[in-house]
Amino acid sequence: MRSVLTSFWLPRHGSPADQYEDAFFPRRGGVRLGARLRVAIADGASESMLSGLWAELLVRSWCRARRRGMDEVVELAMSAWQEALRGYLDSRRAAHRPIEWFEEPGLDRGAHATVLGVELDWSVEAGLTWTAESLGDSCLFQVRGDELVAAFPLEDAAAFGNAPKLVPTQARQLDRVVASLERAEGRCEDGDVLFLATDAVAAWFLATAAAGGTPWRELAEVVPGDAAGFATWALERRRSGALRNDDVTVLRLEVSTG
Amino acid sequence: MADTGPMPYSAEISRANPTCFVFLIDQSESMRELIGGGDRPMTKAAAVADAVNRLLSELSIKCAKEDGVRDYFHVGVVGYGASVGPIFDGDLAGRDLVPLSEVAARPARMEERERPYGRHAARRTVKFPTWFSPVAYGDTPMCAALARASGTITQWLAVHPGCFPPVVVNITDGASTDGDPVAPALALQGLTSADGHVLVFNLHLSSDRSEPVVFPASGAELPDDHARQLHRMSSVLPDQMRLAAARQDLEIGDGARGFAFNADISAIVQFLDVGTQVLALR
Repeated sequence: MRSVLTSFWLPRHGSPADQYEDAFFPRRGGVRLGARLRVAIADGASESMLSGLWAELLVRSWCRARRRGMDEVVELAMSAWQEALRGYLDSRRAAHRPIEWFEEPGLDRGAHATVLGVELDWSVEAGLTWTAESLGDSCLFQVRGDELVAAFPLEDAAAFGNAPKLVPTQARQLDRVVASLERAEGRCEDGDVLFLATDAVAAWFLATAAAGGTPWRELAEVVPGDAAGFATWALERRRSGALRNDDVTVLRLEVSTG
Repeated sequence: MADTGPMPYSAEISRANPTCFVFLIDQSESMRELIGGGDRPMTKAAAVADAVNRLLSELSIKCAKEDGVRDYFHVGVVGYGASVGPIFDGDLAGRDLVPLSEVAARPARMEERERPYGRHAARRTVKFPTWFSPVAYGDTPMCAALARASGTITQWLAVHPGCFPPVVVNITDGASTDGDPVAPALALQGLTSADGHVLVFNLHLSSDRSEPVVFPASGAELPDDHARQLHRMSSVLPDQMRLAAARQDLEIGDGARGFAFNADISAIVQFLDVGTQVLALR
């Protein structure tokens, strides 16, 4: 299996890059060869403290986990969170920035994020297949030629609300998270393109496709690696209202057996 | 009525486009009477100070991120009684409108209170910041307070013409002593940003044990002229705020106004919650 990965990301308009709270993995684009590939995106909740850190931990945990399902991945990430949190608190002490009274409740509550993990597999028997596991409104789209052939877990731009399900860092909520995970699978043909997108750009993608447009071609207008070009691309759509102002993350994966 | 413009009360609230809340707090003599509800006797002045201080604390916490408290809101607290003016204590004294990050950074006092925690009757101390203290002395110059709010908000709107409309919450236990407050309240509602009219909400505090009336649409069931006057002074709740309130299991009908009469402690808390729900719309 050969895959070509490109990524596009931006913080919400008005926020600096270090306040971007989505996450994606792998970070490095380019060609990958092999029988299996995992990719993931996550969207940290803006109302929680340290959401970006949690989103990062979730996507990396999925991609490193090789054969584990999302239920085990979340459990592992929840344990790893304790150490990540300690590291954050240590860094605050080292920077002489003690935790303030207004941060304590947020730190107690923990972080929250959506997560979408995708695995691509190739075998002689089954061919090119994908499986996806999700909690929340980060989406996977499968495009073949000029047709959207699959959308998961949301299929309609109207389905995006402002209260998606979120993965918490609190381990005692693990059972509830596992019960809410959604799962899907599909087959790929040579040349299919998979998109993973967080909610604002996912909603734009679905609305554009539903109106007869070709969002995959619009994204193709942006040269991979051209951050300024992508910023302009997003700003035009934010101004017109087609793209809600929020962090934007898109992973594009073109797959083939060759 | 044909309206091809965007929906009002839909502006994004952000650091680049903040909005403001102004609380007008009756500090007249009668505010030292006890209020209904609660698990211990409290004066109306203390109940209001507690509720508004708690709201400022919750707003600070809600907007806190790793890089600091996000200035989605600026806040003003105006007292009216023996005098009319801002009532922040401590470092913020004398300031009309303060960005939330400064509110969070400079409470006047930090109390520690015990709260129940988890199961097994455990208790823990939590920090309870306060920004102003209860006062109950003097008359009820409500018109002067409303005029002060108009001045502050007019200046704000000049700098933030596209903001989500500012919200004014007037908390009182009695009738105005400096004239008919309906006109200045309507003048305040007449101020606009590009996103709609300034919202004026009125919260009247209980002097007796009669049932609170919360968010009524019509003034017809109200007990007296005073209640009806405050009702007339109150803006209709925008749909989005009604929806946010519905998520808290509060039934608020179409045309409901941001008004509560004979509020006890829990009605105060509920009222302030709904009136400042705008963050839930993000």
